[in-house]
This record gives sequence, structure tokens and C-alpha cells, in this order.
Amino acid sequence: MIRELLKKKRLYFDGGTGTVLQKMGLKPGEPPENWNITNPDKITALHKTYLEAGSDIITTNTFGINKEKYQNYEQLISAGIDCAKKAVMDKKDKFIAFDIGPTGRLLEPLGDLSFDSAVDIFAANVRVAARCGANLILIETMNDSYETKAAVLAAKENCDLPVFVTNVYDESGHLMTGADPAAIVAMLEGLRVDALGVNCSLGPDKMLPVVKKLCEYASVPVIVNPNAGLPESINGVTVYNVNADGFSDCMKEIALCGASVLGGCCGTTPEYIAKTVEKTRDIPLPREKEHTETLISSYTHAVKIGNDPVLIGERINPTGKPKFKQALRDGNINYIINEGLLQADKGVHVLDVNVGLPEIDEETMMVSVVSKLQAVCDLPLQIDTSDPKVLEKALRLYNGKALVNSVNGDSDSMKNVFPLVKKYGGAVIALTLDKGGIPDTAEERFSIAKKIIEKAAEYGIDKKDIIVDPLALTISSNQESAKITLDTIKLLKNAGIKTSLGVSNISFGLPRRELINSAFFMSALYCGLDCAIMNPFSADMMSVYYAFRALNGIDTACADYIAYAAEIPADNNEKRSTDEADLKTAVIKGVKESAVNSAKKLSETEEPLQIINSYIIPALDEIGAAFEQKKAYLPQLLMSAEAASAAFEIIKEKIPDKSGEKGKKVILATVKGDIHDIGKNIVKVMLESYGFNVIDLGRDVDPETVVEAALKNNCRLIGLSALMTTTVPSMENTIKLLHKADKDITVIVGGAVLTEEYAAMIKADCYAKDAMETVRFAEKFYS
Amino acid sequence: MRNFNVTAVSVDSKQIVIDKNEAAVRLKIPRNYTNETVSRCEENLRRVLNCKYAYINVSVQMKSDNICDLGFGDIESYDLAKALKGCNEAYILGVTIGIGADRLIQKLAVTSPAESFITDALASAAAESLCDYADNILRKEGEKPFRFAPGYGDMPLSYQPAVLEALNADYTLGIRLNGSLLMTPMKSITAILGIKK
Repeated sequence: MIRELLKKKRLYFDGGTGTVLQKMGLKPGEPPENWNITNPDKITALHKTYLEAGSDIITTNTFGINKEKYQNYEQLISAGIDCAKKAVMDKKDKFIAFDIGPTGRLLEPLGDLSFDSAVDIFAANVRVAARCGANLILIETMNDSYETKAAVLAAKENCDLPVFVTNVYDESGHLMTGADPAAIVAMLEGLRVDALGVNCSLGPDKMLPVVKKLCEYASVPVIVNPNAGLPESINGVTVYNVNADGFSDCMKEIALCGASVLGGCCGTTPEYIAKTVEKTRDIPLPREKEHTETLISSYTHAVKIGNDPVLIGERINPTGKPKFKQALRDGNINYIINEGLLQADKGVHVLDVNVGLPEIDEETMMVSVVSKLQAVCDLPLQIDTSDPKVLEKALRLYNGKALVNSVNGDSDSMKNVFPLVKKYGGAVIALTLDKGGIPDTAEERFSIAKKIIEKAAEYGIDKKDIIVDPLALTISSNQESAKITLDTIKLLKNAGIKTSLGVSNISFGLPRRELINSAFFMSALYCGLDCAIMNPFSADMMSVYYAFRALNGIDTACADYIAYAAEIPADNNEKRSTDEADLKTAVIKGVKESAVNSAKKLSETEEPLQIINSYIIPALDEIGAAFEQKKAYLPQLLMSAEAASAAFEIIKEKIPDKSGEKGKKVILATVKGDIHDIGKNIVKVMLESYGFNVIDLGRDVDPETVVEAALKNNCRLIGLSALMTTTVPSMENTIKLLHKADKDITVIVGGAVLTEEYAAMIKADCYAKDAMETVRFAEKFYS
Repeated sequence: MRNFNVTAVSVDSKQIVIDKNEAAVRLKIPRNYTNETVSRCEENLRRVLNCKYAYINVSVQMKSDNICDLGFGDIESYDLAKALKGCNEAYILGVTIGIGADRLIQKLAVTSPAESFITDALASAAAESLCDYADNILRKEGEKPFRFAPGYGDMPLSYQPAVLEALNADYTLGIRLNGSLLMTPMKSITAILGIKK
């Protein structure tokens, strides 16, 4: 019912609750939710005054209720909805919005509330609300996109009521955790909410830029519920600095911008709503816009697929990469994350994430990689898996609207993928193949694309969210294949369908593949290609991208091209001066890039062991000694260690038998109860720079886990770190268990709270005052 | 009940001069030491700073030599009472340099632990500088009794939720507590500033 009304007429929310209740006698510090039970008549009276003022939708007094905060949350919610029902009295054109506010906690990985727990908390509320007869769910005052998503999923999974969402933006136009309006629109429309918008935050005047953005991107109705300006204290009473006249004038402007649902938040009263209704009632609703641009998003921003080519980095993928495969087997998440960060530095817009390997648990790995990536890298992700279970898990946990790689014309594939895209949102790469394989003509490929788009429409997935990959097959086996692919792109483009291409397949089996790849890439771009899945470390490919944009007037004043050109060497003979620095100097100075380059050069002529012994170790010893004599400082020591480690990685590849170095194992852990791991990380960097094989168990590690790792890896040297006094007993316990498991285990301890005496007291075998001492001890241990 | 009378201010990060001494102590370097890496880390950190502070003005009710009330119930602490001695009013202040710093430090932990460590130290110093900046604006003149906070001296960290609630810090600053009462964004500070008139 309200879904239809939304399309037909302007709807009005109510205004402030907390601020009005305070005037009605709610004491500071008293939870307003309790009034649902102790003062239900007053709550009902408040709702009535808003209905009389012209509100179509009243929000229940349930903002702060959740099962974590209130044991009697069910009672509070049902009492709150009863209060609203008494006010509405079965009027058909008035609606009760069940109000959901934030949990007050931050989600993982930056906070400590898991995504699933957050969904669980909201779900409990939603179930009660649906049972008690709310007409819609209003998720409001959300300042984190991830928590917003958790709340929306909880609503969708536990009731069929319409879902409205409003977020809080700051002056810069972002949520507290970084998302801009376009990112929020992409995510929420992906999750199929019924209306979205902004509340609280600022006064109506200051909200205008955000409202404009929301109206620009959103296809669903936009809600605007501002505060009555900013609070000021006058004689100890809180007063908001925009009055009802000023407020309603601004709301008129907001309605003219295209917002269709209006109301108020903190500081607004029935008077504000009445005046807003009066001034905006006759403004017609905005015309329904057709958005042809595809939006995908991360936790900060949206990427538009449409008029400017989008680069999708292909490097998070084990195919043909032995080191990457090993990282997956070892659970070395950081290696994988680093692949993502390096591509981001190269300027890609989206990262493809493929972590499938037959011998590992792909679901667990996908969850770890997606979670970690979306903590540290702000690019949207493309979830690349053939397992629907893995896809579902990744889409669920993804903080934004993802790209999905991929679906094809086979009915099973569509049956697996489309329900997930419908539920979680996303744009999908659609491959033009089906049970019959890959057709040989552009027309047939085009018709598979059409079939996929029609099927998607049955699920309610828009054409703009299907990005067709017409498939590039190598020209080494079929000379026609490039032409077929390019022709298909043209057909798709003419039909207004977005396209993507895994470009490099075209050259499979040929020498100097980048020459073919880049020429083909340029041709495809000229046929209208929207996205390319490619290797951003290929200078040829990147050059094509920048040149194409400059040539086609996409790159204003050729600014991006000029910046790109300034970064690359003019010709291959020109080397940067840092390349010339010798390895020892590079390590001492701590310049990673230059250490890597000179290590590469040296390894062409010298034996690996000789490079380590005559360049890297002496350099480390020199900087280590300088550190011990206070002639060099911790930042320098660390940078040198990193440069040495990077050089070491290069040289390691040349060592045929790695058994020798594998013998020098050290296990490191920050003990149970302690989350400070800076000290441990420093020690790790130093040990690795000296060629030790460090098994890092992380922070807050159970004693049993340390013992297990020691036995499993047959490692007899364990380093434990603790920063807080309170965790020293936990360290003592770990040492006890280790010695019990094997009396030959040597435990070296360090950390801010420890001293020589303290270490002896808890029966550590050795105390190291800093990272250098740990290295010296480990060297002695293995000598 | 949410407090509706909090003043929240965004600060242009150019206004924040990261206290070199503060950073030096954390980096274990001498005071006037500079190097390229540290400068580069500071430059990158500055790009992600989103500095905000929020405060309320409260009256101080001294109930005994270890109990005072700042408007949200009795606080038991000899040290706080001592810090607020002779103050009839106080500011409750919260500052944060924003969640971008958390993300940057975590990102660097992957790409360069050394830079992560350095950035972490600089970010701590930046938060302290921001706190000084806000303090100087709020307590322009006159004596400035010691800046106090939950977790200092004998004032338990368990008062942190009440302090943040008083500041409506979730909305005004985006600060939230985890299960161990630690704040996110990590580089956030709360403070109780006594006012002597």
C-alpha cells in the first residue's frame, strides 16, 4: 500500500521525538524508550500531534532498543508499536514506521562487532515489529555503511515490510566511516530498499549538497529528515537555531531538488512539519528518471560504468602464479592483500578477487581476503568464483555493491547467480556462452547476451547491472576470433548493453603477448568497451588506457595522461639513478625499490649466498650496530630491515634448495589478552631481514595455539611479546605449557612491561630488550 | 537519553601541527631528528586526517574528596577530584583524527610495517595536538588544571561509556567503544577539563 502511495504522492514523516519528550518531562539520562511502558499516553499524544500536523508516517519510539541493551526489548517494542497504533486508529492513509537506530558499536574489522552478530541484533527487533503490526521499517541515523547493510539484510530476511533507510552525513558529505552519497545509493538500491535518504546530521540548509547528490543517483524516492539546525544552549536550555519558518523554507527548496518524502529530526516539532506540509504540498513529485549508468561501490565511493573505461585488476588470481598459489596454501593473507594494494597504486578502479584452489577451503579464504581488503583498500571488488556458496558468503559480507564474476547463458548458472544478485545487490559479468559452448558468430553471442538479460529481468535485475563479456579467444588458434569479439562489442554497444572483456586471452600461445594485448585493447575501446579485466603492471596496457582517454576527450585537458607520462621513463634505456646504488648502500639507507633492483642485477652474476653474506648481512650489521650505539634510530632500522627483506625475497628465488633456510624457524606471538603487536611486528621484520623463517601467530594468541604451532612446525625457538602488565601472567602460563610440551623449547620474551628480572621470574629462557637483541640471540641459537 | 546540546567542530587539519616531541618519544628518536621516511609518513597521514572535536560545558559538584558529579552520576576517583579542585565548571571534550588513520595504519602494516609503526606514532601525536588545540580554544585564558580522562590515575576506564554518551560521540565524532572499552577510531581522546574562574 505505502509502496504505491510513494509513487503517487508526497509523503511526510514526523519530526523530533527525543527533543520533544524532554519538553514533556523526560529527564536527561532517562531512556525515552522506557516511556512506552511508563508513559504510553504521552507517547501516543506525541504521535497524534504529528498526525494532526500532517505527517503520513509516524515513527515508533524504539530508536535505542535492541536485545544487547534491553533484556525486555520485546516488551518495549510491542508497547512502542501499541502507542503508535492508538494514535493512528486504523486510518488507512497513515502509517507506522518501526524505528531502528544504530547498535552503537562498530563492525569488524575496524571495530569488534561481527557482521553476522549485527544482523542478528537487528533481526530480533524486526521480528517483533513485524509480529506487532508495524507498516514499514525505518532504519535511520546510520553513520556506517556496513552497519546500514546489516540492518537492511536483517529487515529483508525477517519480514516483507517496505524498508526505508536514512543515513547521517557530515559537512564533507560523507558518512563517519567514509561513504559518499553515490556509494550509499549503489549499495542500498542493490539491496532493494524502497526509499533512501538523509536524516539528523545538519540543518536543512547544510544538507542541500547531499540531497542533490542523492537525487542525482537514486531511482527510488529520496527521504529528507533534517535537524532544526544546530543546538545552542540558551540559559541552560537547548534550542535549535533554525525556526519552523526557516526550516520549511529550506524544505521547499529540498522538495524542488527532487526529494519526495519529507520530515524532521532532532529539534523539530509538529509546527515544523505543519509548515513544511503547507509549503511543499503542491510541488509535484519528481519525474521518474531512467538511470543508464551502472554503479558499483566500495565502503567509500561508487565507480560508474558507462562513459569512462573502467580497469579491473586481474592479479588476485592464482592461475599461472606459483607464488600466489603457495600464499593461498600457507594462508598468507598479507601477500594477497599486497597484490591488491599494488594494483590500486597502479590506478585500477576495481579489484578482481579469485582465491580458488582445489586443495584449500575457498569459502574461508574468500571471507578473509574480502574482509581484510575492505579494511585497507577502498576500491570496489569483483567477486570471482564458480562456487555459489562462496559467492553468497562474499556478497553478504561485502561492504558495498560488488561486481560478480560471472554468470553465463546456461540456465543452471543463471539459477545459481541471479537470486544472490537480487538479494545482495551487484552488477554481473555475463559471459556469452551456454551449454552449447562459445558461438562462432557475433550475432549468436549477442543473442546469448539478450537471453541472459531477459532472464535477469525476471528476477528484477536491471539491464544496466548486466555487463556482457563477449569473450576473447586466442588468435593463435582462430584468426577470426578478434574480429568476432569486436563485432559483438559493437552489437552490444548499439543495443545499450554494457561490456567487459578479459583482454589478455586474445594472445594466448603467442610471443610478446603484450604487443597483441595492447593493440587489441585499443581496438576494443574504440568499439565501445566499458570495462577491461587486465594486468595493470603492463605498461603497454596502461599506456593504451591513458592514450585512449586523452584521444577521446574523456581526460579533461589531458591531465591524467600528462601525470601518467611524467611517471614513466621516456625510453627503456633511461634508468632511474636509484637503480645504480649498490645493494649494501640501499639496505643501509632503507630504500626498498633500489634494494630490489640491485639484488636483481647482482643475482645475474653472483651466487645467492655470496650476495647475502657480502652485501645484505654486512649492511644489516652496520645499521644494527649504529642503532645499538644510538647513531641510527628505530625508523631507519626498520626501513633497512624492510629493504633487506625485499632483496632477500629476490635472492631466495635463486636458491635451488630451500631446506637450509627452512631450518631457521622462529615462532612469534603476542600473548593471550594482549592486542598490542607493534613490538612483535618489529621483531618479525628484523628476523626476516636476517633470513629467518618467521611463523607469526599474531596477537591475542591462546597458549595452546603456541604449543601446537611449536610442535607442528618442529620449531624450538619461540618469541613472546606482551605490552600490558595484566597479560604477563598469560605469558607465564604460555611459557609453562611450552616447557611442559618439550623441555628443549627456548622462549625469548620482550615487550614494554618486561625486564630482565621479570623475565626470569616467569621462567623465560631469555629476555631481549629490543629487536636487535632478539636477532643476535636467534643467530646464536642457530649457530 | 541522547544529549542534544553538544557542540561539535570540524577542524581543518592544516591547523594541527603534529607535536614533534610527542612523536619523537613514541618513535624513540631524539627531538630534532628528521628523516625522509618520517616526513613521507606524515605527508600521507595528513591526507587522511578528518579532525573533529566535540564538547559540553558541565557544572562540577564535589560531593566528597573522591566523589564528584559532572551531570551523569557520581564518579569515584581521588585523582579526578584532585584535578577538579576549585573548579565549579568543566568541559567534557572528545577529539578524533578520524577512521582514515586506522585504515592507513592497517594498510601499511601489510605493505611496510616500518611505515605502519611510524605512522601510528605520528597519528597518536596528531591526536594529542588536536586535543591541545581544542583545549586552547576552550580554556583560552586562566589556569588550566590537569587534563583528566577515564583510564588515568584511579579513574577507571569503565566511565568511558558515560563520557562518550554525554558527548553524543557516536554522532558528533563517530567514536564507538569495543568490548574492552577501547575507542575506534583508535586515535581518539576524551578529556575532562577543569575551569578555574
